[in-house]
Amino acid sequence: MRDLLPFILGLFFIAAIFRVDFFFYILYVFFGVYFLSRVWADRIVRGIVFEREFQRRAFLGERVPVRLRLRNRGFLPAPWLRVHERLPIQLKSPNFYRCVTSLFPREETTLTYQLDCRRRGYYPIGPLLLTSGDLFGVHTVGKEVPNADALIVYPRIVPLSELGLPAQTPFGVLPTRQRLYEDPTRIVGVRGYQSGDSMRRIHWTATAATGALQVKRFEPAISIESEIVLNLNRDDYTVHRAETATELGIVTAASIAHFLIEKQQTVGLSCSGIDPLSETSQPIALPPRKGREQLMHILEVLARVQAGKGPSFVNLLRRTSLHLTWGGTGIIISAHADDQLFDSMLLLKRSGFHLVLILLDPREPFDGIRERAHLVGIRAYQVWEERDLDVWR
Amino acid sequence: MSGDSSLPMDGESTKVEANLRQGLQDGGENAPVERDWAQITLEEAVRPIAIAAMLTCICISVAQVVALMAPRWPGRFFTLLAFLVSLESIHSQRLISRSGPSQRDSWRFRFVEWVVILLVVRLGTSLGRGTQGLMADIASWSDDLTTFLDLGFIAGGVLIATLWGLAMLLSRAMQELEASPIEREPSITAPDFYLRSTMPRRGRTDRQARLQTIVTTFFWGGVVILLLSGFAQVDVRDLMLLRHSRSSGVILNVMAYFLIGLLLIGQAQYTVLRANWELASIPILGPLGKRWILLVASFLLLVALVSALLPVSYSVGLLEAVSTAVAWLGIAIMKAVSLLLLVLSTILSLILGRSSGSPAQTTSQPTPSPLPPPPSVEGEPWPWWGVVRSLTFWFILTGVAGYSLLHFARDRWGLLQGISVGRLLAWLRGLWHILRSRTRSAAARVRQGIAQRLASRGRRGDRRAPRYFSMRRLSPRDLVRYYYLSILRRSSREGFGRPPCSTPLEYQETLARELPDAADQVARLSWAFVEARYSEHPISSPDVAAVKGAWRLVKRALTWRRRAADKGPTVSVAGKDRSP
Repeated sequence: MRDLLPFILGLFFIAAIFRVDFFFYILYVFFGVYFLSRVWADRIVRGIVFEREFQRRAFLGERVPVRLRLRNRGFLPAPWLRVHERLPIQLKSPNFYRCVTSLFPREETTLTYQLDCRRRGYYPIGPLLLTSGDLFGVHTVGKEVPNADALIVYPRIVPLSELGLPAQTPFGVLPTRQRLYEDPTRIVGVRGYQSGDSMRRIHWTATAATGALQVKRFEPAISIESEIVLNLNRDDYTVHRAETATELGIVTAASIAHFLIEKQQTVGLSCSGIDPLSETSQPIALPPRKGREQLMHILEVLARVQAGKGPSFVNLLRRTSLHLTWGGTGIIISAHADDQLFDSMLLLKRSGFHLVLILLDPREPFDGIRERAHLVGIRAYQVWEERDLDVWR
Repeated sequence: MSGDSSLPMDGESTKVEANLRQGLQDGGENAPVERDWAQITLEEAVRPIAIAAMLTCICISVAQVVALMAPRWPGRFFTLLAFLVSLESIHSQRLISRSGPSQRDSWRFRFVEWVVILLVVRLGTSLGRGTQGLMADIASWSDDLTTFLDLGFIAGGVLIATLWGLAMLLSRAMQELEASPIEREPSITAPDFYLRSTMPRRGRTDRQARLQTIVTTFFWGGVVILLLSGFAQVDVRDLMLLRHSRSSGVILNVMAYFLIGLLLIGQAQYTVLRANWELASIPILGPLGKRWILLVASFLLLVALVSALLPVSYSVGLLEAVSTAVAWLGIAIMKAVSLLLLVLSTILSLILGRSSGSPAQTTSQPTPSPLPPPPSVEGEPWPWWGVVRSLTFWFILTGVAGYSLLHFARDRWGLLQGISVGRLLAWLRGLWHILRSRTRSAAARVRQGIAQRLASRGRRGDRRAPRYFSMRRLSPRDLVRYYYLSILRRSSREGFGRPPCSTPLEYQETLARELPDAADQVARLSWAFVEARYSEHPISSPDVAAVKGAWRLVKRALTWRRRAADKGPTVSVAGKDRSP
């Protein structure tokens, strides 16, 4: 009925020539059908509001149900409404969800579909395309609602033994009861002054409050800070193993972070990949913190991050030392260890940091690298097992 | 199943489709699904009856017009026959498409069908004149077989044949709108996948074209039925002279035609959409079909009701109605102004009356002009109501026509959309810039030409100046200036003219250096010039005479210097050492 106007014009002339009242009535009816159909079709999509309900974060292997709640807010019914939601291919195959429904005024309907979290990542959901039209095919209107929702699929966390890492030998240094060293930045309480206590340790506020000399008690530790430094520069990996090795590196970083947080240690993350939510090309850096909140931060970053061309990993490593306190542990996860990396690690070692090296794609025999690392007091490990990645294959 | 024979396919594609069709009939994976009773009712009963009813409505109008010319023509019989033949045409079309007979069987089927139809038409034409007429016709056919083909029979046959063809066309188009299992995309691993991908439109029916066929047929049928009904309503002789009066009343067959047609198009649109969704494997949620019928019916009812409220006739012409409306508007404005003045004057009189203590004087109110009598409307209890109704009518009709024309032009020719106001303004701006620049350059050329001409005139004037220069007319001050400037001109000719940056006294040194013999005269001339140029006290004639003497001497010194330069070594003027 898109060609209604010529007919209306013809009808107009016929009615004007014959001067038959009923012809004018027919003219009005057709014009009303055309005009109101256009107006109606234009207003249908405007009146439709929708809401997506789904769990915004999921672990690998989970199935996330998405409820798409559509509501006709307008006063006009939607005789047909085609819903087409674009989805990431990693979460759904085929990569869309679509259906047709109709909505009366103020009516609400809920559409449901499932997303399979088969790979870690940050996935925008949508955009949603709504198409509708009138009853006679006069006008069709479409609207694309930009995507504002996203699903974060966390990387897999595996026991360190599965990665071939020594679970019994913790990373970093655990708190110790031997109070050889105390961290003056971590006050755990106060106690009464004893002979021999340094004047610098007197807590003057507590002293004034109690009326007796009080000294600060520090957390006994050599160092409990660790920083995971992950190399996601695609150029540093061999072409055939880049995809697998970077994913393995992310899984390794997530697993180590989880392990350390469970041991109540302080963990930070530095990464040379690309964060799709970050507007700058600066390397990702999460300063060392404790607790599950920090673990979730780290996992979110590791879920989003993508391998790409970033700044030099050696520079990132040097910058990482700024986050660590003296005696902290740097866990370096990289593709391979070249001379430049060894030089940087040696500098850090001499600056008083403990270092652990984990290699994902060594280009030389690993035994030689381990020997070389051992000579400078760095423990080196290799993570090569690919069976852990079967889940996203 | 679908009428794909109308598709422009080559022989190979037809073979491919035939193979696919055979595969379907053999029980392939795309075997046709069983239809539910609602679908069967719709396809086998509702649609055929609706199409037949539409065509019968056209036949009624034809019968009305023919009855004006040939009152004995059996219009009722042909109306009934049109309905039955339309149903038969639809049924036969569905039967042939479903059973798929061979070409030979199809021709035989059609031949038998048409023999029966023509016999019925012939009998009906004869029966229109009664049983005696039929008997007389039979007797005449036995004498002369050509009398079988009289004008009434031929006209009736053509009418019935046209309606038969239209019914078949509409039925086939409606049937092809349905999603056919043969159109479903086979699996990529299926052997038919490649064959399907090489078919035109990948083996899919062009549903929009089919829908367009239905709509176009409906519109043209609407035009025909309106024209026929118009001729049946209006006296043709008056119509030729445009003196016919308006006709009122509901024309039932026209109303039924358009109502059924709109319902059918709404249903066809739903069929097209549903077929497209089914073929794209898009699930349809909820009772969409039932709602569609409900909404189409409600929408048409609403439009019909709204249209019924609008005026469909006018008793006052367009120009008269507009002029009356303008006059009423003017009166309304005058009324408002006078009311405002009345309020203001009342307030002012109250204020002034209190302040002066005198009783408020009544001010004469401006009397509005009397309401002009509205145009006389016959048969109207209130004349203004006829004008209002006519105004509304013209307003709506102008709006309808204007809107339709605008959108018609915009939809048809994308030119209007392409030429946006911004582009038009930019083009006009560019044109303005071009015109302005060209006008400026032309004006500059004209100015340059004028300046050159004036300059050449000036040069000629300069050359002629000595002839017209009279020193007697100069004042003493100007004379002094003239003497000095004359020396400057001459010195510049000699090559040591006064630079623009030097003052008269500075230049005096230069001049004295070049003309050492006339240094005193140069000094006198320079000081006299400074006095004449920069002072305000009067210059007397004796002073001028002294300056004139100095000027002559300097001039002479310059002349000698030039001559000496032409001949050889410099000669001293003051010492009277002249060169030989």
